[in-house]
Amino acid sequence: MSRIKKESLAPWQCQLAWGRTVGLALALCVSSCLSARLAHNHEFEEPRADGRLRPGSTGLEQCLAELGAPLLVREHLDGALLAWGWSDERAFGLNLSLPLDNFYSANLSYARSIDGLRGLVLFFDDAWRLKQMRRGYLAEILPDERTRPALVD
Amino acid sequence: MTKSLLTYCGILLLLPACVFSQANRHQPLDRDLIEALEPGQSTAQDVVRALGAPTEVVQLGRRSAYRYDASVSKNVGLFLILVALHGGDTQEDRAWFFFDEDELLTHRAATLAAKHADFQLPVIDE
Repeated sequence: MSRIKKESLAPWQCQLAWGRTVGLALALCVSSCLSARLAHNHEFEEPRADGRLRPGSTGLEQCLAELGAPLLVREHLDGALLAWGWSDERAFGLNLSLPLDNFYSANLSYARSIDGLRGLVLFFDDAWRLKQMRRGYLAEILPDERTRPALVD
Repeated sequence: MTKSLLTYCGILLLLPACVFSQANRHQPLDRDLIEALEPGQSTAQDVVRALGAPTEVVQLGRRSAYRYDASVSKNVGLFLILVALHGGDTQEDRAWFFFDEDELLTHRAATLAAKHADFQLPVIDE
């Protein structure tokens, strides 16, 4: 039926019908009924720790050679802590907006993201010997800042 | 004729939707200058003379550590009618120098990655 109808149409009529379809699709898009957002933020490279770092035996020199320069160095109890951090955030969002009445519209949005600075924290004693390692989200594995009282010379 | 016209129209439509930006913080670190500073021989004064004032000085009891850094952030965005894409990449040059209580250099570490920051859209790098 539709084939017969198409064949009976002149080429300029086919083009006109196609143009109307595209026009309608563009009008829907321009009115921003549906929009999508895709984002990727990358910050610093993850250091390669090959499992050769052993608490109790590894020293600062080997840790620095394996992991490179840390993001953070801080005094911690009688020793120090060194932290490495990196992030690889990906986010995806969809937004659907439909006008319902003169003064009302429905809005539906969906967003998904994986974020946060991941990290590795190494704790050293006063002889720069590795005591402990922690891996996870930096905000969760970094201990509160606690320094000993300042020395009086 | 029609084909090339459509191509030009497509390019003209896409161009205003592109955003590129780059932010640099501090001067890039020089690997040769860093490697010339030898643990057990160089002092805090040598480090400052070679690299200038550090970004941060951390007191570690009687010892100390100096931080030097420089970063590059590159962002790219493509805003089409229906879809918005954004990609950001931040990389850093970092160097730490650890000193004993006599301000003698004991350890040093450097990671020079700022030049590897890249403009990448999410759909291209996944």
